[in-house]
Amino acid sequence: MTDALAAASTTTFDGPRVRVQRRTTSSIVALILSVVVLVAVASMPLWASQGLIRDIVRLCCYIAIAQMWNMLAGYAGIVSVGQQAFVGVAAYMMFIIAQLWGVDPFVAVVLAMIAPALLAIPTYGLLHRLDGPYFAIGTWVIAEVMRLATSNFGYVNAGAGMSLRVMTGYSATERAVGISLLAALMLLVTVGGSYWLLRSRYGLALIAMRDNPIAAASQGVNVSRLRFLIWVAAAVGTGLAGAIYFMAQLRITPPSAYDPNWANIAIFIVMVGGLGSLEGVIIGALIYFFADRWFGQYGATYLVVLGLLTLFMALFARGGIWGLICKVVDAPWFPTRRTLVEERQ
Amino acid sequence: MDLKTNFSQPSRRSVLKGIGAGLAASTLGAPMVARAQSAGTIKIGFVTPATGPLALFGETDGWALGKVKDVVKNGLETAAGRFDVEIIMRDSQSNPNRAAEVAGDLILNEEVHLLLPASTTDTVSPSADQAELYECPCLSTGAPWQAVIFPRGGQDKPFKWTYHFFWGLDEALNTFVGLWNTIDTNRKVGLLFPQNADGETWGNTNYGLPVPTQKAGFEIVVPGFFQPRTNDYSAQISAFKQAGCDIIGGITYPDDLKTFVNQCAQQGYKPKAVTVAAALLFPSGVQALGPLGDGMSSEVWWTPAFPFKSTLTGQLSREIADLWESETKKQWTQPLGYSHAIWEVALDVLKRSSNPLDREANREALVATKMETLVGKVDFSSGPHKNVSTTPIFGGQWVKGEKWPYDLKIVDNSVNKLFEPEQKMKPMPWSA
Repeated sequence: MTDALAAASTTTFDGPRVRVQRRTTSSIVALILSVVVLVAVASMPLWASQGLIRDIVRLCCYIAIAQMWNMLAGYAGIVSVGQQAFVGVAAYMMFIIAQLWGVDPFVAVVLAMIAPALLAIPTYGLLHRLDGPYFAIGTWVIAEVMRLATSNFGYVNAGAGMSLRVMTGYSATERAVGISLLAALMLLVTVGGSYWLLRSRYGLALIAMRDNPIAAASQGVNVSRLRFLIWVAAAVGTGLAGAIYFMAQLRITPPSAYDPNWANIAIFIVMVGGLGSLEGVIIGALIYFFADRWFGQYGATYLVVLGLLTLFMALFARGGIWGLICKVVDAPWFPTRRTLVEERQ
Repeated sequence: MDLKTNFSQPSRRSVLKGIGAGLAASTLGAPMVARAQSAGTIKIGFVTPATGPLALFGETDGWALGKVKDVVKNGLETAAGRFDVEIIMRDSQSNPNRAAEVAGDLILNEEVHLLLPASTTDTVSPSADQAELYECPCLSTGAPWQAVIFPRGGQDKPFKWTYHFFWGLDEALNTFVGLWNTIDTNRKVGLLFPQNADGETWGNTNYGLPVPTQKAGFEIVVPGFFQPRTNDYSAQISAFKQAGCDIIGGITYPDDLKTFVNQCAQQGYKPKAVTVAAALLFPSGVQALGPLGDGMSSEVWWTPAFPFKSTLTGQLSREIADLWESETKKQWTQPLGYSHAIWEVALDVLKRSSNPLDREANREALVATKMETLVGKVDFSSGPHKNVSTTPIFGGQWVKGEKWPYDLKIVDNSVNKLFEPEQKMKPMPWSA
């Protein structure tokens, strides 16, 4: 498409020869690093201890959930505080398929993705007429309804929750290989998928929508259809992270699965890291992960500090940490901008 | 204030360790100064709800931990020689997800030799699941054993690594019936259950409170379950009044009990006994009722009246409760005995272990546990389930106290006849 645009510009206009450039030196470096990271995550059993694998998988889950929220809030203009509905429903589906139906749990994670997708379709039908804060409250209601429904569903042990005892049937190596491959797949689908989407034709429409949905619609962007697609895709991505997270947790109860804290984590990561940028999510997830590790035991004080930090960023640094970095150096890792470069004659 | 320092010490250390892990440079950790005689350092992971809604349980855990650190500060003499002991405390924040995360971290990254999740199902069950998968001996308490074993699928398939000592739901229910048998009533019981997981369990007609109550010849009245935090109990109260119930039983949380009891008083309904679980566990729950708290009854886990001695310090229950009161300036609470007892068992296990630095050896020692603790006997060979040892439970009543607004007195021992009750149960005075 880039070539087509460039070709068009050269034939139509008689002005200076230009071309559209998206790749930058920093993006090439970042792309290579991303591939290295992805391979490293997939090959964790070869170089990491069980404990380190566990931590990295958790970090990957944070990145995935935050990135999905970023797609919703940063691009589709949908603010959801009920993403835990998809975390919970996917994780419960995985427990059902693996523990009750006896399917291999690593396969069950992938199969369970049907659940968040199926939940996302009718909920969007219910919610799409609502706007802004009303939509956000609506998503929370959905999550609470799911929690209450699960608490009364005897098949999954109701409020008492379930344990994933089938995991004891696999050796430590098998578990490490399985979860590492799943974590790499999750990163590829959520972060890689988002990047691919943003660079595609839909990406242009999404960015237009982010800036002004009405103007975008007037330019021929099918705003409602695009929003629906992003909503379903984000539900599946969030669900994938939920299923993988609870596979490592081994135990699920309705309050832990549908914990509103999932939405808080996503909001914190995206707001602090940088709304509407892929780089921000990674920075935010790293900050949250280490903050949680080091200061988690300060309890209420720690949560208050996280809250104040989010508030501060929202008021004084809307672009988050990535926005601040961009003011100093212009070196995007995942550029989605199209730059018009004048070619030398 | 002593409590504060005990909490912040492990935090600073783990912050350092976290940085170390982050940089993949494990050399940052504080260097261990090996004592001449020490055969190594035993690492014990301790998970407790220090913050969050269940922090009242973690409060006694943190205090008892401080005392135990004094006991082992010069190391621990075991069957395999003298070892240093490092206790790593982690806060579960009353959140099951957090509990699983910190337990996994303790087992895999800190490589503890024994895991001790103390207090509440939300902390114990997720930690125990991690211990079972990653093969680490795990000793827990502070939650009715059925709630820890059954939802984890342990009914038909016992666990290899996780052991739990506490009383069971069945005995708690029998305690209620025992209490009601000691006073003179028309033997009509009105039952009060909330519409949540606890209410479903306690109100269950197959294994809940209605079963032993009816078996003992009481007539029961069960109006609809109430929504937690409701403002209106008139439907329940009028049903109890109409049936002429002399006794109210069930499970509620402190706020709900307060509303219910106040409305009973307003509507002129004065049953002779109000016996509920959960709401009356802590003194704060009774004090919230004001003058109406006098005469409330419930199950008792542990009180200073327990005659058993600590195997760690030789202190009597009374002495431990007094020490708590003088140091924290707060009234003793029932989990205090268990917060202490879990360490009695843990250190006993390590002392008997053929190699305290080996998880399998610790597991074998844990299975063979047979001892008297502050809360009673712990013996996994005689429990109702392979992974469980039951501790005694009594019936108690809150009466006007001297030092504190209300004191909990043991008034019934019909379930466990280990010692005599302190006094007889009195009908509710409804003095306000």
